[in-house]
Amino acid sequence: MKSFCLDPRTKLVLIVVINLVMVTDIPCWFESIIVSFCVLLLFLSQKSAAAFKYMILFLVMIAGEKVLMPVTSGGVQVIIGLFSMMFRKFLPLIIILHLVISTTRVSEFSAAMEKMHVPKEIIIPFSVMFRFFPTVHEEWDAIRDAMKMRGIGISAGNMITEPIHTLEYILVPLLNSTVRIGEELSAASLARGLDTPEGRTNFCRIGWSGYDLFVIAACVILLLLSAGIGSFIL
Amino acid sequence: MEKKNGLEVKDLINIGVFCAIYFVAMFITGMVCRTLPILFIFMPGLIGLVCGTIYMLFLTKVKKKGMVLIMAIIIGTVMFAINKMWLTLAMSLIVGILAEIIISSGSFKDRKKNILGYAVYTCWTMGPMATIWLYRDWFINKMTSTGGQAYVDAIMQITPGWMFFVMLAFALAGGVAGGFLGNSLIRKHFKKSGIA
Repeated sequence: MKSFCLDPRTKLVLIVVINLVMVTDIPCWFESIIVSFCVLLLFLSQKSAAAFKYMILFLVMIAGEKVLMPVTSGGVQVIIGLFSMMFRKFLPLIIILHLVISTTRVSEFSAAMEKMHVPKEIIIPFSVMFRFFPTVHEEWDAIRDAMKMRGIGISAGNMITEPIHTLEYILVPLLNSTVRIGEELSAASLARGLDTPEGRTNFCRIGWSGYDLFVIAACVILLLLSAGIGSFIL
Repeated sequence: MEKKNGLEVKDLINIGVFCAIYFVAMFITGMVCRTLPILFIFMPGLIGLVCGTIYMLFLTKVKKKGMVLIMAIIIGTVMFAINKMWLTLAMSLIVGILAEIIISSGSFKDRKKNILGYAVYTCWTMGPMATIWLYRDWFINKMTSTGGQAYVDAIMQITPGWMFFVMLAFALAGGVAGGFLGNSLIRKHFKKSGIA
């Protein structure tokens, strides 16, 4: 049997559907179904450690709401509420994004977009942007280390007393390094012939399989359920 | 197609890079503003101020027709996927087209038009904000489930109808201030390091 692998287009549907069903105040049992479904997908994609971690996190959040919230009050309750209720609303989306980002290569993603006839003017910036989020994060860590070494800290205090200077200290090195990396990236992709007028061939074979059918069917059921519960979007 | 609008692959990659930086800066500013109800009012303006440098540098890097609109579409789509308000996408498209017209009429070099165009673009943040007034019940419902009752009550108290125009003014002012700050930083730092 072929190992569990989803078409990028199915993943897109998955993100949209999970987004749709998690909108408003859904009952706890339905939330549990959604989270279990997401965790199951993560488990099937050989990410059992992460799947286990998210499941525990979800149970801790439920316990936080049901057990800790009634017995606490004041500031402690607000903090627990923030963690166990507000953050919990984003959990399914975080799990799905973890799944999608860790299992989709950029070339798979752009192959799927090409099949959907999205123009090149949108595909290239989009794939570059997703490739760049980790880079921005890395550069930011490096800049913060360098600033600490020079004794310039970025704290809430600095932000309030010297907002413009703090902004300058953050943005200037960040832009300098990321723009340079971007230039290297564009040189590399030009060398690989990204700008040839002919159609590109792609190594990644994109196609539907039985797993896609299963996931799409599950998505339809989730949508119907959430429409039945009556918490729907604008 | 490439010849017509002049956007080459190199430019498209640059657009992607700046979308990533803009998005991160915008999102973090937005998150910070979500912590206190009073900061909520300043969110569009602060986003304008923080992202001004990024946008001004972006305008010096690409200088091709369509760049402003493509960025507006991409940021609008990603934000729409996150906050699920169709006004986000609609507003992004409208201000994207307006900003594109303003900025390209100065052929990407006119400082005043660049700043004005950026200030107009910053107003896309008023798209999701408009949900507060247009879909009040939906907004209250969504915010209660993510922020708690006390937070929503505070937001509702400080957002009577005229507040929309105050926030719009803040967005424009923040955009102009961010644009000026960006231009001065470009002159001070990026010209020297050969980036701009």
